[in-house]
Amino acid sequence: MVSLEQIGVMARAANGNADAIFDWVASSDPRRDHTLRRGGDVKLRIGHITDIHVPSEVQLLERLKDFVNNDSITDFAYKISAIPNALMHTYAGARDLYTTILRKTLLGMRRAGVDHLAITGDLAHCGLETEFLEMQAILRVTGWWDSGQMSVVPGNHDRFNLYERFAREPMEQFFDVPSTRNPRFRELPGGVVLYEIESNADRIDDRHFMEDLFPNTVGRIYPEELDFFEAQRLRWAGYRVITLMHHHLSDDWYDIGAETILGSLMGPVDGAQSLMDVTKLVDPNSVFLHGHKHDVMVPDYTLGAHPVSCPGGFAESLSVNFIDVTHNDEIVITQGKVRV
Amino acid sequence: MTTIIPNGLSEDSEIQDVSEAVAQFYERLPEDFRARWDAVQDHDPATLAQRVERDFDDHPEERREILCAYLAQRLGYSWLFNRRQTLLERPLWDLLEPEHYTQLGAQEIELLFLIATSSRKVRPALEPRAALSAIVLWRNGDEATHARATEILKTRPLPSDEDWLFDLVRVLAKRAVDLRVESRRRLLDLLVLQHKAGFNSLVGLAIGLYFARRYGSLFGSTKRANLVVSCEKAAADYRPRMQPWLQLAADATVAGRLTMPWLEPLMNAAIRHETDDARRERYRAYHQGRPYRVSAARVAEIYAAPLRLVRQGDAHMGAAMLYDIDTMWDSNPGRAKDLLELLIAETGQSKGDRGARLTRVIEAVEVVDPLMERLIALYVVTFDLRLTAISLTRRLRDRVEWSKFGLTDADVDLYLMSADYNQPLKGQRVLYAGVVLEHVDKDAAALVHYFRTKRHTANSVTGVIQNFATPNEWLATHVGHSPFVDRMFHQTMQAFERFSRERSHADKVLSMLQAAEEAKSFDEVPDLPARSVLRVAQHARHKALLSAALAGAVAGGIAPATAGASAVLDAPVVMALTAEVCAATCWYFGFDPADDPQLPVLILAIALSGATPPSTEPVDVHRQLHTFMVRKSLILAALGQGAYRAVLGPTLASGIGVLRERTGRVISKGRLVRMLRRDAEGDWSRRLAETANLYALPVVEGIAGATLNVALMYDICEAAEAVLIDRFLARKYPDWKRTW
Repeated sequence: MVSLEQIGVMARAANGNADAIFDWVASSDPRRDHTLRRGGDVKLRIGHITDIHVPSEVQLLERLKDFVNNDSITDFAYKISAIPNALMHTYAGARDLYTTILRKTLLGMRRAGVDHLAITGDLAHCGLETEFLEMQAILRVTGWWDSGQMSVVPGNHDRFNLYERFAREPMEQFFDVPSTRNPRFRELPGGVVLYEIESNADRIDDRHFMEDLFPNTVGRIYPEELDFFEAQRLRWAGYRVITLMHHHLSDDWYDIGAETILGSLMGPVDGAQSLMDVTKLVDPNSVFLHGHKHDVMVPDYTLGAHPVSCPGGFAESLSVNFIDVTHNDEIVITQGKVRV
Repeated sequence: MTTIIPNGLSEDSEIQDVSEAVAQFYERLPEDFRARWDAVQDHDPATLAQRVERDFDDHPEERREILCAYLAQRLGYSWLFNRRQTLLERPLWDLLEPEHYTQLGAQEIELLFLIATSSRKVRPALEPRAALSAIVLWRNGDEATHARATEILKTRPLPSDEDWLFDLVRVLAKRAVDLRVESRRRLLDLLVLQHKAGFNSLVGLAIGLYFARRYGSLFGSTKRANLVVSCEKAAADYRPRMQPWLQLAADATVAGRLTMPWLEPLMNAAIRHETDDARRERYRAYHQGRPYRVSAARVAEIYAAPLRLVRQGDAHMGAAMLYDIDTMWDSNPGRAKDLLELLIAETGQSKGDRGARLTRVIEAVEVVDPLMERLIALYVVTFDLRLTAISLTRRLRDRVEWSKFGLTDADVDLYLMSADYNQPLKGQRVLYAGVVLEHVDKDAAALVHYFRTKRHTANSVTGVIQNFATPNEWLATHVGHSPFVDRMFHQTMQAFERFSRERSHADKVLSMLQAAEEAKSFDEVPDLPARSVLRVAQHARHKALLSAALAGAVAGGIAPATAGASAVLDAPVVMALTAEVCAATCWYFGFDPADDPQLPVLILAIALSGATPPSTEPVDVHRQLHTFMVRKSLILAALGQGAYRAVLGPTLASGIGVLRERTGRVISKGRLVRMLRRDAEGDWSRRLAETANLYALPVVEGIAGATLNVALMYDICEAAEAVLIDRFLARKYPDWKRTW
């Protein structure tokens, strides 16, 4: 029997035609060929995937029925909001298929010559341990786990447990992630540094008023995160800065939905401008990778002086972005879609 | 510096204070569009240009807004009748028309240049308003202006937003307008300019949109399918004046190595109609790799005619298609695989659609011919996730010469292990709730955990029926609840349970597990993954639900015609079904209920009371079921007699009580009763009730009977699964602490 680790080693050595796995969709550089093969001028390639929402097999419908019994009005609203969340997943009843699609995607990233994998939150769908374990296994099979080539930041779905208001086993039990007010840097080859932050509002000390009714969907940047960056700006002088966060920075790239109008949910993160300003201390054109909104952002989108990448909810779009840092320190974002 | 205050007083001030005041004035402008609109009214264009260039150099968005607001006023737009967005965009679109452009003076043209150069350096493409300004200047300006605008348009591509580009194409390609500008300043020339600057993706998209405008459906506009169909029509409807467009499409495709699907028909047409040999060869060299991204359905559409010929036995066509497949191997393996599957499906002799034919051919294949060998290799290359692809590769992997296709054994291993959900997880262990489990059992463990912690009471529908208040004045209530009937019910249930317990379901369960390729003998069941067993057990659940629904629907449907008597007819069926489900489900998990006669009763107790039942004594549990059955039958019987108020009254009252409690008694009881009575006693409501009795009642009764039975059976199946998975895990993992 082959262990997961052995499969992971095989996966790391995987090569082949990335265009056989992905369809090229668009690129921020209109002069590039329509291919996802790694170009010769690329010194670092980051694969960006977000909002994976691995579902579980805990018979959601049955558990949700239990929710609506014997509750207060606020709990009832909270749980009612969880029902569409649980049922509207594209692969709610097909976890095996979804898992294999994810394996294919992450192996495809190997074929595409990705040096570092960035997952910007919402790995789990309902914040359950089983979902984290499932995602862990996917990453092991594809050789990303324990490779030192992967960054994960938490999303709102990773922080609320659909069945228990506060998760019995937090995400930290399964993934090495930054937490609210405790960001971190990760140096990558080629003069690139990742600034990894948790953008969820603090659920305990800074709870949004709407969170009594709906699961946590509010994002906030705290002064501690800005101070942390500022304190280390000299150390990273001259680096290209790529910030990894879950919540989005702007709202001009998708259609505003009712959830934003009612109760300011699903809006851009609070403190976006301060965050962009502070990263300018090191890199005036720092790059932001995020998720949260499941809409697919065009790869040539920029916000002020910053390129931004959001490939959208994976279950719906099956999209991934490749962030190439060239030998000239330019950033090129190319979007691909998994062929299923 | 000292600032002089008019009243003679003075105070010290630094010069920075003054500049800060100026800066604040300008910084306030972007926040308040109305103030900005008023402020720019008094400026002459030269001063405005100077100020904007100086103060908004690093604020391109504000810079564009201020300048657009000025141009809007210049073109006569009114603040009163337009939205802000209109005022900021419409003037630039208007200026594409030469007659509007000629209204501008030299200074105002400079303002347009300021907008045209306002895109931030980090932007890969021009900002839409900057792009529009550049196009206005390029299209309508004098020679010097045209040359300056050309430089802007060479540095960056137009925005790739499909809706924006479609609008631009629509405006610029209007024939009446296009003829009014010089021949070298038309849409085609703009796209040639962008192509020469290397922005081929943009050109490919714009050409697709151009043909969509001419040949596409009115409502399809920018949708990919509309672009493909439009370009197909355009290619078929070739006219000499299209030649430059086809050439541009082909040049951009080859130079940018474009893969947009709508370019394929245009490339076909360009190759057909090209007179220059060298150029045609260049097009052909790229086109033969068929790199265009198309779906499997589209591949079938494209190759429909050749496939028909292959079906009719045309060997030459088959060989030609195989050549195509080999050519696409590297440039578009996904399409090569789709085409090869179609080709193989056509070689099959069986009937049915292509998918079914392909499956039959694949399942029957024993000898690996060159076609099949290629197909298996392509499955590995494209990482095909379909079960047929995986099982074919697994079955015939030893007969394929992988090195011929540049593949190694490791590639095949990786494909087979990763594409199959279970394969890599076999033997893998995880820690869940303090117990080391097999990875595949984690979901089953979670299911037990959440059932145990969340199912505090009976489920919703079953709970409502159990809490239903039966009217004491009804004779049926007294009969139904009499000790005699209760004792009879208990004895009958015991008989059903005994009968079900003594029947072995081992063979049936084994045959289902064998069909699912999960186990070869019944003894293997305890070692199987819990999720596999659970999936097979779900068959029993579906069967039970269907039977319960049928019985309930029949009993309920004929209740109005039998004076409500039929409402009790399904009771024996439901009782038998309950006993059967409780006992039979045990077999699916490898338990013989004869070894533990209490197990079916325990399952029933949990189904009726939640995870912690007050009693698991058979007599108590049967009494609870009996109460449920009596109340359910009374509801159906009463509905059949039209006694809505008698049935719904007590239930509604308790529901309203809960509602009032939760809404803080906003609705007073008296007011609510008055409202209900007023509506119920009206003439229209009596007529409605009569009509409902005649036509709708049997249907409503049938649905209600089926729903109530299904709810009960669903709860029993669910409880059975939770209890039995718990025991299954306890048997498999000694560390797992059994709950029930």
